[in-house]
Amino acid sequence: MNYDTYPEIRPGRKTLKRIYIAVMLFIVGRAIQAACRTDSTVRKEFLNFKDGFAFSLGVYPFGPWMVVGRDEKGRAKYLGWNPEGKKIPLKMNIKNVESAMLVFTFMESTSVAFARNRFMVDGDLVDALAIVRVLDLVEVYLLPKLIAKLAVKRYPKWSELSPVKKHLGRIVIYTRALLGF
Amino acid sequence: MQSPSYYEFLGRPKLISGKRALEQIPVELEGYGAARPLVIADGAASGIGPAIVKAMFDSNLAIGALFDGHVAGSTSGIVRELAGLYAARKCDSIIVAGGGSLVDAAKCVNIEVCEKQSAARFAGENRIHRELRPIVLVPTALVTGYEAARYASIDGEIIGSDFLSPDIVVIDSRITSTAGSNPTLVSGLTALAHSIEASISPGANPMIDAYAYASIRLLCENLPAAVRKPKNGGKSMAVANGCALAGTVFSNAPAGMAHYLAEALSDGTGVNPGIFMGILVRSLLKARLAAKTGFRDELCLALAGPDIYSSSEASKRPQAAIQSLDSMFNELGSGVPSNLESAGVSRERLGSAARQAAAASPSKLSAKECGNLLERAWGGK
Repeated sequence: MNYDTYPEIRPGRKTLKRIYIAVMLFIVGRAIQAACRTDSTVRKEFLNFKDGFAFSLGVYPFGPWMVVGRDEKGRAKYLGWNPEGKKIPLKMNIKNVESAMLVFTFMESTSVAFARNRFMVDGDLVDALAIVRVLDLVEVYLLPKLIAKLAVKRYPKWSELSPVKKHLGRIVIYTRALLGF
Repeated sequence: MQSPSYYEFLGRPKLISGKRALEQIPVELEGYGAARPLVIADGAASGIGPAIVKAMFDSNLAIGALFDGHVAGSTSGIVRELAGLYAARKCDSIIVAGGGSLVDAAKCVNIEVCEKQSAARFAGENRIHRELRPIVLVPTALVTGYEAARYASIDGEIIGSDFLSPDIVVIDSRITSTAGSNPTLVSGLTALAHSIEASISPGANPMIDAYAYASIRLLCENLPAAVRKPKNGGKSMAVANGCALAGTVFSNAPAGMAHYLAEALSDGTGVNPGIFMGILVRSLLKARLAAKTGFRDELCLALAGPDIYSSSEASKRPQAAIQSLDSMFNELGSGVPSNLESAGVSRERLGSAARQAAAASPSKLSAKECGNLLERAWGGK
């Protein structure tokens, strides 16, 4: 056998998919910050976290990521895309780009992906589940009902989130996410 | 259900099945401390090698080498060459994508690179005494039944060891749908025979029952459709799952009469043993039904399915199970002959096949009982 016929292969990168995921993570990160100032349920979840809490959500091993922390007033703050040099008690990584694409193209909801072991969690599992609940709510605000139903575990009933509150919240969250406050 | 007074069960391999399953390989291998696999892919089916390489994108892995040449059989020669490639490229794990002798060869490469001796020297039972390097199996069709089990074959000899089960079996429709109708049929029948024989063997235990139940249900419900349309990803994956589960069953229960007889008949005719296993296991169950012995309730449930099982009287459940099995074989159509005669076995061959199977069986099957089963199967009873 001529070994040269079978060369070593350095697998490449899926650049376009990573760019798409980076954009989605940026939008979701800023939207979490905005939702925390708009929605009482998200605010309560963040108030329950300890001081100095931060989490990263991204794709293993090369990213992209988003980092969101809790400020001294108990509100969510988007801390950028780079987890390096930051103290992050909860790291949530999706195991690969393709699994991340399933989540961010809403072919698989965050909770289903979590249940299917597509996430690697380094940190407190209780906090991780709270983040999954926050992501579900943020997706309800960000996405039209038709798509959001695919992306979340259970779409909230009218009694839980009235259409007026949802649509007003959507406008505020989009505005705050775009302007970054 | 009562727990047996004593039993052992080998719960390998780990199964990963479904959408984007291939892409889980890098992170799984990393868990074993491996970062440089040798990829052995079935060169006859196009697109398998590139699919594996693409699945490794955006990972910490480097593929030591991608071998997608032709492997005619698991022989010492090809195993030595592949072991040389593994060593030359400083690989630390193996990914094998395919089925049959390709998987046997990959397992034997693993033995050679770990034990630094010819794999053929380990032929027999339990001659390997330590963990080998991680091996990931990505099946197309599990045609021999050995692939996902604790066995490998080299130069016609069988090596059996708990360390030979693949560590991970990854079932992805992009790979399983490359198998044709015939390999799908053969692998399904082999798996079905192994699961049924394990279920009626004296060594059956609750774990074997659980795996055999899942395997038999998956195969009974999906095999005919997968054979008709092998490109149907959902059905081909269901059959691959059934076969992989049957591999674990086969690791834990000794091969039965249908297995040994099918191998003996195949030697003389060149027909794949899986076809004979399908014919023989049907006759075996009919013989048990006629003798009103050894037809366990768990097997009735697996073969008939919950609906038929629950609507049948207890005494008629074995009959209902046989009818369900018959209707599945009818759906398979002409791919499975109804008896050994139509499969091209001459009556004169039966005696020698019975003796050959009895001699090969470590569980001391008698040539007489083997002969009786062959007679039944020859007449399609």
